[in-house]
Amino acid sequence: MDSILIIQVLIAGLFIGGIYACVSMGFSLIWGVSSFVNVAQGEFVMLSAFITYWLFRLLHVDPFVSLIFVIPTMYFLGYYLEKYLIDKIIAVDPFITILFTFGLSLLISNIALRAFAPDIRVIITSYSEANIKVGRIPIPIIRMIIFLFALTVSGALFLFLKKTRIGNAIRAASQNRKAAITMGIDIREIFAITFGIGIAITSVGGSLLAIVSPINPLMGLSFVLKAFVVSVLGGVGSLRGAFIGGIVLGLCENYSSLFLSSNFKNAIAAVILVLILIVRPKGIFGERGVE
Amino acid sequence: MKRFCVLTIISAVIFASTISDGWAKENVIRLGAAISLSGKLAQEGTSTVKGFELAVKTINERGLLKLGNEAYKLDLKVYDDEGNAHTCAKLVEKLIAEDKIDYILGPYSTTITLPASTITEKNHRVMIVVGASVISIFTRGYKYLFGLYPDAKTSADPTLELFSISKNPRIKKLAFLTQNDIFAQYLREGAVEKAKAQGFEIVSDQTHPTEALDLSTELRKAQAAGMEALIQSSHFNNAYLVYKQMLELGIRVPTFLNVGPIFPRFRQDFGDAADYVFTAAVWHESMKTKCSVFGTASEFSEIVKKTYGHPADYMNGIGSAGVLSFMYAFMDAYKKDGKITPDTVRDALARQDVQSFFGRIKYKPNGIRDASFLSIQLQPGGSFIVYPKEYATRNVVYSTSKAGN
Repeated sequence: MDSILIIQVLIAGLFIGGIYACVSMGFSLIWGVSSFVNVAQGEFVMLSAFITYWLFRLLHVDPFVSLIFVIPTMYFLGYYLEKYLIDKIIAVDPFITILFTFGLSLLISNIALRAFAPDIRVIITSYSEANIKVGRIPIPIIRMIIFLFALTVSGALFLFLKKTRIGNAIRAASQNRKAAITMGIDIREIFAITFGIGIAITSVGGSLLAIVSPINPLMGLSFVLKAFVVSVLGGVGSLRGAFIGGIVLGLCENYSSLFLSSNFKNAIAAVILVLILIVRPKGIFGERGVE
Repeated sequence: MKRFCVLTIISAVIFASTISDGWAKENVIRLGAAISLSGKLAQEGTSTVKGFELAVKTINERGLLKLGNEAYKLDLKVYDDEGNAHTCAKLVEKLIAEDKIDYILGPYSTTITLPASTITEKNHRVMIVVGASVISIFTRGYKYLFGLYPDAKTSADPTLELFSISKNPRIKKLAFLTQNDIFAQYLREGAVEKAKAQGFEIVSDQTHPTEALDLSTELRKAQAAGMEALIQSSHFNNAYLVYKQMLELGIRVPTFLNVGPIFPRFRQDFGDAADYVFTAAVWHESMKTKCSVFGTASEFSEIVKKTYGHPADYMNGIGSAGVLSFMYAFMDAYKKDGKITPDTVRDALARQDVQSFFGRIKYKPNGIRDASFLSIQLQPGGSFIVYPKEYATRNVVYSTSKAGN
């Protein structure tokens, strides 16, 4: 097989893997800290994709620049959603919380369907078709930038959690909630902040995806499934695991398309999930609490 | 005595109200449709419903439906099947059993139409399929089922014939990229048969999931195999995905997208980058067709533009044609049999042979329409018929996006 093709598929895998990583880190963070499985996570991917689209379409804001607006907006959306809604049910039976967020997912997607109509939307920028050649290998610039963005945002989140007071509080809350409360950490505030951060980082994935893929109001559900698989693969609450897991999933999907068939793309996620649960149920980097 | 008078007055009032209800009742024939207004087929479904509504409105406003000396109106009831076959079947059942509607305009997509048409056939109700064209729909021996699309297997034929006679560029190697569902696979089957018959070499033949986020690997694989043209089959959302990613990856070959380019949205979203892509349609606004309801094909397009703010696409056309076909059938059934019932309307459709803005509407014995597809190409200025030659309004141009020129 042509080595150029293998490298091109590597680039494709890294690109989509970077997006999975952003989506999954948010999902895993929320799950790891508050033990809350947010089935509506995919709808925030969709919402951020549409915000990026409409900013581009109506105000001609470059999609990458739109992240300056998208990230804080989605953070506050997540923060207040947790503070005034999810906080009421977070301590209840996990099944109830899953049911609740499933209902929330349906609500958001149907509101979006009404607001945006079921039309497919695409973003075509002046640089959509730009390529650079590295040796004999043409690389779409846009995909390279997307991967670098995903890497940067992931790194920033990692540093935030390691180096800031709030980050330390989040990690403490995820490792031992009772001890954190004893140490004076306002656990409910931490949950709200975590939720906000989780939604914000997930929304980065949505905005980046909108730059290369058509979007529609019903696109959210498939991301929840991928995020779930990646979180289990990487270890719930492990951001490093979610990042690497996202990249691994992206690469597996693309190489399975290359060597087997494109039809295996969606099945690969299920296969990975089953294997991980059998071989290492905690995930590759599964540890107690967020790291 | 007093009680007797009161009872008499009450009875008279009740009797009078029922009589006056009957006198005030309009002559109405009801049509029903369960079609995708949401979900992944919403674009196609809403386009088709626009066609239904426009035809019903035009026929009613102009009083065109006459049975004997009496004018009749059409009434249309539409439900959203959300792109789900099970939901559609239940809604069709509802249209028949609860809404008491005998004449159904078909849903969109083969997967959804198959079970829905089983319901109508079981209940001996007439369905005109306006959104599906796989022959298996019409090989079940159903008597009450008619379809306005020709066999979808032939949709790529005119474009493949065009590619086969191209001298610059010479196109010998084809790649196929197909969504994994009944409709797209059926199109692919027909296109592959035709391609082999035309002497093409098929260098890549890939199938992808319906819910795809990224098809760059598949496109790179086809490119690495040396494709000189791409034949893509799917519904709207994946056609968008493939074309967008081809532009992004710098893959420049003559491209046939079975669904997508014919919608005005495609041109709005892709702009100049949409130029030179090929697609198929059963109808185009530049066709030299005519009828008393809408005038010529271009006049129909103008009416659509005035009503909906965009030129007509072929789904608007097929939606309106479905209503027209029913209208002509009602009038023919009444003329021949003196009554409108599913059986008389069914017989009228079976013998129907009328000219309309949509072209000739005539059904084969199995119920599928006797017609063929056109090869349409998007060029600067709009979309144009480029093959067959007798319908062509522009010469084909083998070029690619502006960045590729």
